[in-house]
Amino acid sequence: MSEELTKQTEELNLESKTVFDNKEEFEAKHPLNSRWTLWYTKPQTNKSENWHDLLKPVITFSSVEEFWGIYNSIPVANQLPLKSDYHLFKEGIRPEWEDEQNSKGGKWQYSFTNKREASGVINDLWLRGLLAVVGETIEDEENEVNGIVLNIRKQAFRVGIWTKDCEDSKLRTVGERLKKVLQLSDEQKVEFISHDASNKKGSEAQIVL
Amino acid sequence: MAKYTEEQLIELKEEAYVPQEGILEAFNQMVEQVREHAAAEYEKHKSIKWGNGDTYIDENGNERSYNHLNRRRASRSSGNKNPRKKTGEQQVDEDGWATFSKAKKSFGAEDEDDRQSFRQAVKDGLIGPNNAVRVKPNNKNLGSSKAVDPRDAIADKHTNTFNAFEALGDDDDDE
Repeated sequence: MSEELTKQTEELNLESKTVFDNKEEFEAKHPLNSRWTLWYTKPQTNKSENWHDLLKPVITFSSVEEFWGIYNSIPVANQLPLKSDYHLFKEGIRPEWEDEQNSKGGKWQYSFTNKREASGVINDLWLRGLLAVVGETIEDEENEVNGIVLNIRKQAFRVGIWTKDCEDSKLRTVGERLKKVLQLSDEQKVEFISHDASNKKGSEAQIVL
Repeated sequence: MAKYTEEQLIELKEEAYVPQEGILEAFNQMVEQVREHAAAEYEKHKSIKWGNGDTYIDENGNERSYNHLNRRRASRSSGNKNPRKKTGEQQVDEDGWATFSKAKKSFGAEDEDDRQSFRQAVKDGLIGPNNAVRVKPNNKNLGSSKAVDPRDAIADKHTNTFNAFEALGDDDDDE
């Protein structure tokens, strides 16, 4: 009995960290449900750079306080250079369709093609997207969302939510919430396309909301 | 499952804590470098497109190019069709087929008739190996703007070449 108690105590010690174990963790007052990694796609400045060189993990965090600290320290959406991407994905998932967690999934997305008009609101909309993802209100209990992506392109700002799979019934909630988060009107449609389909030329969206 | 609404998260904005400042500073530097590179590329592209490299210093001390003087007139080739080009008339037959009749040529149209009459004459045996052909040159096309064959020019050219043997012979004659 005493042996069992000792073992349990040891396990308890491993789980509950104190300020002496890890000062940084001690700052975390509001832990998030998941750990998140911010990635950045650097635009190519040298022809020898390939996709793997350009996609860089920036930082991983797990609390609301850290989220704000990071958000306040990095460039806002409309200050990023052209051909940049921000990706915020659950820790351990690379923002690539080849990743095991993404390979059977797809993405909900919307493109703000009027860049002049959108550049005034894209910072707020991207922040709303981030908050919905880290706060995990972008879905109910489906656990379908792997991450959120912002693409800065010459023609458009594009926001996408990457999902684990392509099951229509599980995805509608995410699509509807993305539409609300991005404050889109009924006429502005969000589209879902699987990664498989988006790699084929001429393929169309599977769900449009 | 711990969920935070947008409002709850915004309430905590003031509690911001930067976990690894060094990493974020390095990240910002990298983005700044990319931005500078993009700006330099843009300037380079702009000067290649419009400028010839000549610049002047304006009244505010800024270096400016003579773009406004060097700019070429926009090309007509994109989108604008040549307004002088005539299109043929469309003829619709009884079955509803539409045919564009050939636009009349501004020059050389009578050649077509000549060709037809020549072909007919050959067919009728008026012209052929047994019959002499009286050729009437069509002077109209002789004044061509085509470049002269350079070989012909060389053949016609008067050349003064020095021939040593001839020169020696001449000397002999003089003596």
